[in-house]
Amino acid sequence: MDPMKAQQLAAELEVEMMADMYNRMTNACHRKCVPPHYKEPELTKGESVCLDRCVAKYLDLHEKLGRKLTELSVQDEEMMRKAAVGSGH
Amino acid sequence: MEGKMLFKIIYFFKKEAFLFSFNHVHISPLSDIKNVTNLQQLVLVRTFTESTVIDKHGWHYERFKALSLTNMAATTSASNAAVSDSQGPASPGSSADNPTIQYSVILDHLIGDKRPIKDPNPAVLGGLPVPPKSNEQKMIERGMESCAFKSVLACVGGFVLGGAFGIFTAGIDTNVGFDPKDPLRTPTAREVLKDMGQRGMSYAKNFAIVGAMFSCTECIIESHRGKSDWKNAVYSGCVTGGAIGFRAGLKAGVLGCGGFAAFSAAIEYYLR
Repeated sequence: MDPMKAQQLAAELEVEMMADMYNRMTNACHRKCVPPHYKEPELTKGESVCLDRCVAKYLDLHEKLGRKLTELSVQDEEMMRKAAVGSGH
Repeated sequence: MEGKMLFKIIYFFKKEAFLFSFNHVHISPLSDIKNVTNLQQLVLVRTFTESTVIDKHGWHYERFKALSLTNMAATTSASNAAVSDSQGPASPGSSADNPTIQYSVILDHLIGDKRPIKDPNPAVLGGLPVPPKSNEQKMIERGMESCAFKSVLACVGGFVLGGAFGIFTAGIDTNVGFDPKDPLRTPTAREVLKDMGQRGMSYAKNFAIVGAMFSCTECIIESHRGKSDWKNAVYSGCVTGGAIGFRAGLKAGVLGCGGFAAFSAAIEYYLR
């Protein structure tokens, strides 16, 4: 596939993907780290430490899964290409 | 080869493997090829969600708007069954544009190495627009939240409080200027002041040490646990009481731990 086209497509999708990821991340980390006892308006030390760790893990996992997905996509495409070549058109 | 397009994307998430096959719109070879503009591909892009806790099915379907291409030469996947082999050529203008979408290339631009580095501004991503903090401000805030600063604060506070307490109790519980030959002699002002000073100093030092230890251990335990509840105070109370009492033997240490932990728990209960 033409890399320029891929880049354009990726640019279109990127904003939506990042916004979605940000929303999910904030939801997940909020649910995990901030218990619903709102005695004071500022984040306590424990909560902010927890949020740091949550975000780091989330982004790390996102990247690792993305790489794995890319790997599997490549394998898939290889297979499909071989099949297409094999069956002939 | 025209026909069903089968995309199989395998997700491997920790110990689970999700196998999804996505059947695309079947285009019969007899349909008017010019009207096949509404061919669109749906791609499963799974962004990570906590499968056990939060959102088990956080699938996000992306529509490739640019894929309203008429010339999609379908390639059949050899791996899965039920691929209908329909005859007929792909489409008229399939020569120039690239029909197939290589997800690996796109993913490289999205998630992999070729992605553009952007500054994550919450205003763009969907949060509230917040003015960015300067580096100095961040450093100051980080310093003020650190364990060392908190324990220094507790130390100074304890010193002041201990001094006041000591001076106050020196007036109440006096044992100064006692002359066995003359038990009714009132002490001189100098003796009284000296006694108050000594007592205040000794109380102040004790309070300062205890305060610093308690605050330091509480901060460390809270950082380690990542939670902010009453148990932090109890654990650090036990550690502080134990450390103080340990100097007088093991049993005194255990007693100190229990006593101080109970005291801490009572304070926390009152405060929360």
